[in-house]
Amino acid sequence: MVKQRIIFSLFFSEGYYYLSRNFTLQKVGELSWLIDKFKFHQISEYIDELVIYDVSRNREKGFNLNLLQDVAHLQSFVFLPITVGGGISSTTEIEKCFREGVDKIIFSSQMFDKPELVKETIDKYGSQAVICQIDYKLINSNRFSFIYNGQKQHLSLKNHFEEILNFDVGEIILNSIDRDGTGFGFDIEVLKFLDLGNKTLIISGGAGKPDHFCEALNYSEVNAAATGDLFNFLGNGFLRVRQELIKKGMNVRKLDIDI
Amino acid sequence: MLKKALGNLPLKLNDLKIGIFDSGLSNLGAVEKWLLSKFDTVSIISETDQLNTYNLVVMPGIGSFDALIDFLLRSNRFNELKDFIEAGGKYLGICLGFQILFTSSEEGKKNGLGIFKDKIRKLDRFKKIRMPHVGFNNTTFNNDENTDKSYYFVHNYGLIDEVKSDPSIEKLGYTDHDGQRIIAFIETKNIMAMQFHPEKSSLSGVSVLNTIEQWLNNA
Repeated sequence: MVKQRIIFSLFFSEGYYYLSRNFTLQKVGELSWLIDKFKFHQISEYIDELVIYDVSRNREKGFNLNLLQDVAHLQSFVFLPITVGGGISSTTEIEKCFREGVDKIIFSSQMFDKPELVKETIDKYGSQAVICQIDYKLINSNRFSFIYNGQKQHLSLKNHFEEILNFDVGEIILNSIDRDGTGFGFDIEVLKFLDLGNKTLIISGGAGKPDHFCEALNYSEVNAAATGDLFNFLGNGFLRVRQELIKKGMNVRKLDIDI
Repeated sequence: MLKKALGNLPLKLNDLKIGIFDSGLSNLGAVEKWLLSKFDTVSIISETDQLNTYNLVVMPGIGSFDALIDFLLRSNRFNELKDFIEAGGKYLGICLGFQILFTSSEEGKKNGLGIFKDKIRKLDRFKKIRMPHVGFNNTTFNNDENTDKSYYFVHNYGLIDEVKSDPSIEKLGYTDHDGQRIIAFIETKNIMAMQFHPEKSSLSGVSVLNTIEQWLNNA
C-alpha cells in the first residue's frame, strides 16, 4: 500500500525564503539558513517531499527560474521528489524545471487563465507530473477559493473543485488561507464538503505540531499533509512528526536506520 | 549520513564510463547528481558518441512512452540501443527508461525496444485503484532481500501482475498499490531497470547505487 506523505513547503521570492501567515509574508533567510536549521543533510529521512513555491507577486515576470539554482543545489544531497510552482506561465519554464530534476509542477490560477498550458503539460509529461492547488478561505462560514496568491476571490470551493475535475491532474492540494501559518491545525472539516472521488489529496495550511499530522493522515482519503511553518518544525521538528506517526502505527515510511 | 549509506565498499570503478541520455524528457539533473554521489564522472551522451564506448548507459525518463521512443528514433539511437543491450551492454533504466524495454505501452502507439516480451499497461486496467500511483511504497525482491525498503513511485502506467518467464532475469522486485501488483524492478546480467525513482528515494535510493556497483563488478 502506498504510504502517506509528510511534505515541507518552502516560500521563495528573489533569493530569500519566507514565513507565511494568512498569506502575509515575512522574510526569514536564504537557503543556507534553511539547510542549517532544518538539517537538510538528514531531512530526506524525515520528510517525503519538498515543495518550493515562487511567491513573488509579480505575475508578469512568470516563474522565477533562479529558484531552480536552489533546486540544483538541493538535488546533490536531498534525494527526494522536489515539486515547484508559483506563476508558471510557459512551456520553456516547465522544460527547464524538469531538466533540473523537478518531480512535479503545481498550477493554481493557471487552471483558469492558462488552461491550454495545463492541458499541454499533462499531455506531454503525464498527469502524474501535474498538481493543482486550490487556496481557499471561509467567508461567512462558506469556503471560497482565491486565485492570484490569495488576492482575488474566485468560486465556491465546491464549484472550483468540480471545474478542476475537467482536467486530468494527478494530485490536488487544498490549502487553507485561514489556517496558513497559524499553527491551529489543518482544516480537516473541508473533507466533509467535497466529493473527492478517487483524487489524490494533499492537505495544507495550519500545521503547528506532530499531532496535526496524525489528525490529518488519520483520514485515508488524505494522501499527504504539507506544512510551510518555518518555526514550529525547526531542528528535529520533522523527525518528531515522523516518529509520532510511526508510534501511532500510521501508514508512513519508516525511518531507514540500518543502512 | 550519505557516507554511511555509501558503505565502506572501495571505489574501484574510477575509470568507469557512465553515459546518460538527454532526451529532453527526463529529470536529468536529479539522476546525474544521484549518480555523482557515488561515481566519479557521469557524461551526457553526445550526438556523436558511440554507445559501446560506455561501460554503463543510463536512461532516465518522465513524460510519455511515445515521446521517449520518438526521441530515440529522431536521434537514430533506437536500433543502436537495442543492439547495444542485446550484445550485453550494460543499461540502467529508470521509470520510462524501464518501460521502453518492453514491446509496447497502452499509453502510446509506438513499439518499445522489445527486450522483454510484455506490454506496459495502465495501472488501473484490471482493478479499480487510485491514480496515479504516487508516494513511497514497499518493494519486495524475489531473492529474499530486506523487504522493508520503500521507494518513490510516480506513474500511471507500468508492468502489472507478472513478467513473462525469461531465463535472463536474475532478480525481480514487486510492489502493491491498492491490491494491484506492479513489477518494480528487473535485473539481468546486463540490465538493471526500475519503475521507481531511486534518485528520489532518500537513503533506500542511495543504497541502490551500491547494488549498481556490485552488479557492474559482476562483469
